[in-house]
Amino acid sequence: MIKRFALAAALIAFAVSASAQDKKATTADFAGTWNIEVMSHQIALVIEPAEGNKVTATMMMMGRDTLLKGELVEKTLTLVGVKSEANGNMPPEHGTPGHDHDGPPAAGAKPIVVTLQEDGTIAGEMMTTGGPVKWTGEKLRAKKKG
Amino acid sequence: MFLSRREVLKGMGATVALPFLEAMGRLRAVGASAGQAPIKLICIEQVHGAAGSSIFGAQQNLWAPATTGRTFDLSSSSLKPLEAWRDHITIISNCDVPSADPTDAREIGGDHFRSSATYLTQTYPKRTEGSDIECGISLDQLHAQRFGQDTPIPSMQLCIENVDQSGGCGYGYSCVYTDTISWASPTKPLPMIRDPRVVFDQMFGVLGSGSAQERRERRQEDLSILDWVRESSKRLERRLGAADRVRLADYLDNVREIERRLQAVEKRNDSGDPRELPMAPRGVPDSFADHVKLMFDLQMLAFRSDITRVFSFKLGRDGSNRVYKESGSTGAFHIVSHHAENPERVRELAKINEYHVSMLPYLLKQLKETPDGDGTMLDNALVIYGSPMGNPNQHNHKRVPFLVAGHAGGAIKGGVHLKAKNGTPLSNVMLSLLHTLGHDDLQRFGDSEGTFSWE
Repeated sequence: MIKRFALAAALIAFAVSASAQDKKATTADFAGTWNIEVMSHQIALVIEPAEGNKVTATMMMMGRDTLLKGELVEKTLTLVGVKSEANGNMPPEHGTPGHDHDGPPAAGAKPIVVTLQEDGTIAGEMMTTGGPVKWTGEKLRAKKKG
Repeated sequence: MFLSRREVLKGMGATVALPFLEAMGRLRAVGASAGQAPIKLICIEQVHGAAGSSIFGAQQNLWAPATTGRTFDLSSSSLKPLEAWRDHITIISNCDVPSADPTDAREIGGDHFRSSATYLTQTYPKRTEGSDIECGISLDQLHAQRFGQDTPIPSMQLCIENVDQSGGCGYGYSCVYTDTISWASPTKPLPMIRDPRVVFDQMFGVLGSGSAQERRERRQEDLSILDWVRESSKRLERRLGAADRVRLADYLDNVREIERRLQAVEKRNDSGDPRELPMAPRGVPDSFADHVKLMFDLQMLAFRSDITRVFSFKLGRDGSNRVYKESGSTGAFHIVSHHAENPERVRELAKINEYHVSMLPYLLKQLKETPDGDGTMLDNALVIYGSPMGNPNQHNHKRVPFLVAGHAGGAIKGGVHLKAKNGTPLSNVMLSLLHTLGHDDLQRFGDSEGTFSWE
């Protein structure tokens, strides 16, 4: 009896696990503002779902915005920089999320790979002048100001 | 013989603040019982969090000890220099400062530029580089505004590093958020004084020590403020009992000694020899330890002469790359604080943390050796020491380093490590500290959600 119960419990656990693993990510899962930690620094990554499995995104670091666009395949989102005026040293207002993301990929742009983790965080890899680096990100929680 | 404070001051030509003398009778604060001296408050900020707030640092107990209660072990902790003072400290670990967290994308990464503003206010600072700054009233100022009106100066704000920058400092934040930890109101940050000479002149100028020109001349001639009151102090001495004469002589010696050290620093800085801190005011010693100790001595002098009972004290500036060679680390502070979770580098930050903490015993010893009411000044002091940042590598504000020393008039027993429940805001602790300071009617402080138990 005990053996039969243990087997049933194991099967249920396997089914739940398999179901969780099989669950496909959607662009909505990536939507929001993410606090990315990369090489001991924090960068904001704002992702907005676009048509189908496409997204637009803005990476913000030290007052400079980089516009990105990307596509979700399975659980992996691949973002590339967009050739745009706003990817220069434009004031932040010009790089607001959703603005001017339709340009062609920037020449020589390296993709930023983003994967959704089981715990709701994201992780990935990006190219820097020092080579590829891994990063992790947590979603910014809404907080009452004041 | 009984002398009123006014008579004593007249006796000294109203020039030099005096220590409390028996001849003046017992001093009684509002709400204090006979023999109970008013509480002295010092709020100290250590910037860049602590090594012990990282995962590795927490596992190795580089700040918070492994055990709670009274049997805590400080041998692995940056708090090791406080071992001899363990009965007088209360370590409060595992608290967060959510008011310093970013609230939108533009604030991510800007933690250094808003962190200090949140320390004693526990309030979210409005991101702006303009004059529309807004944060909250700080703990020290709440206390000074209510209980600091009996002293010539309600409170003083001191610092060790440059804090007089203007405009925006980064990520859209005004520099005032980085420059001070004291806020008289949500829109009124208070400037902090870096130059010990300015502190000295404010303390002894407040009761009238001549014009600015006279003070300048006195400094140029290496004269002491005491030279100006020699005759009047002798007259006063003749009217005092034996114990008071000793107390007065000790106190005046102490004033002279601090003044002598100030003059030595100024002389050295005027000599033309290279300075480690060439941009610092001439009264600032090159050595961090000398500077901190001088500032502690001035705070003690203020307490002894009841010039003020409230201080805030900022040990550094966020983003500072000062090198603390005496700590054993040769790295620049901010760079070391971004340790990349590398155990060796986390330990290097722990050395700097330990070095900063090692300044505290100098203050605690003086507090303990100073009689106050029926006990010592340490019995009646509350020294708050901590940082609004946790793990500086992530710029987070979780598991922030925090402790209090002293017994706040008996309200805090000390000798204990208390670990807060996960997610407890530090504002809860600060609200309870305010209650121990006599602000019983205060329901909320900053983003507090409740109170904190000292048991």
